Amino acid sequence: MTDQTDKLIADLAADLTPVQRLTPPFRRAAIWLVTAVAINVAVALIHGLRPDLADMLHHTGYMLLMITTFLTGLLAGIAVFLISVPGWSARWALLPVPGLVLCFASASYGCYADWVRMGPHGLTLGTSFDCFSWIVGLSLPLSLGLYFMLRHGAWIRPGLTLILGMLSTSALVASGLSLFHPVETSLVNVVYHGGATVILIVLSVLGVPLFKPKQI
Amino acid sequence: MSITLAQDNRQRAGHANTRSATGNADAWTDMAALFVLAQNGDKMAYEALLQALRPYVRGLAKRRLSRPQDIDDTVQEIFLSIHAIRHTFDPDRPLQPWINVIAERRIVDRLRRLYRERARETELPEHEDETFAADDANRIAEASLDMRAVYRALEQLPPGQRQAISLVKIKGMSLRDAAALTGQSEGAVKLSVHRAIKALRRALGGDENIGGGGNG
Repeated sequence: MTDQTDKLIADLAADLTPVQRLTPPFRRAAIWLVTAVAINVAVALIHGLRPDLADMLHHTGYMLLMITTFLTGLLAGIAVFLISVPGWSARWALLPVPGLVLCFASASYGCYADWVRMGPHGLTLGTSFDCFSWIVGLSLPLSLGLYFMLRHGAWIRPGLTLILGMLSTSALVASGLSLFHPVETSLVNVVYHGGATVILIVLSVLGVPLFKPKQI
Repeated sequence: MSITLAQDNRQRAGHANTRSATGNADAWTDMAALFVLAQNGDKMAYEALLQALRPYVRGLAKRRLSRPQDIDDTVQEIFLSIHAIRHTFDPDRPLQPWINVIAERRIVDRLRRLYRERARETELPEHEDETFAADDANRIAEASLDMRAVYRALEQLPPGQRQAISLVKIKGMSLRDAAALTGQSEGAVKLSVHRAIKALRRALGGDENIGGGGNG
């Protein structure tokens, strides 16, 4: 048996070629986040900023939600690049938790403020399929960009990588949409990204080649 | 210059080998230095690194696996994984956690495979060696059973090995074509075929040493 290991070591050494070292995860996360912000701003400018943006910037609930959503996307983005490289603890996956807690707290605060201001009618749920198309339009380039950057790493924790990647994308899409879309889109956004994550996980578990993460 | 470097590598390898048995922190520093040389394509440093790592990864495998065959196979799988993602090692980070994550993945994979195999195994009652009284009928039935055993053994292989043996040995592709199709080097495909044949022989109860396992 040890002969086999010796032979393997010799074969691997013979097969060795120089490799380009992977850029450190923090730097890759920074590149991706800058790209994501640039795409968000570009789409917002193409669409046109929401007409009441100047007023909304003075609205505490709106500002809190936008900042905490962006913070969640930022922290999840850093976490996904860290956990996709061996040697970084899986506990880094908890990095976006403070952002998520603040985000839910802000959303709850927004709901409470609307309830105080407008009574029970302030909490009525509505649907907007127009916002769905903008979510998809903004999400696709972000998701694809993230995928192409992550595939250079190692899929040592495929499930966590997928969940954090989707969390980061959906949070950044939500904060971007809030700049130009007048209707609250969080619920549609969560349903879309949550659904996409579940579908991707099912496809990868079923072993569909295109969606099967590259195993190490 | 190159002679000096080679001597330096041998010296480092010697130090790393001596120290790794005792788990000395300096041994990890030496091995990290060898890793950097290996990332730059230094075959001698790479071989020295893998030999220095061998007792450590073997120790990790031995803690969770009992059969020597499983331990050896897992050590070899760990080395194949290290080889595949060697670009992700960052010399500014410690080497040991990087190795630990990869080793843990491979050991868990092996344990899962063993549990699956054990779950499928059933005790055959005595006197059920033959299913039919006539010799010819037995031969046909046994051939069919053999084929099923081969298919089952193929299904047990890791995806990379199954793909390699399917392309090279079943579809008859050349190593070069299989390498082009899978995006791997010819050496990596050759190794996968070699490992697959070895695993199939073991699964089918044959002698692994017959024929040497080369794939030409």
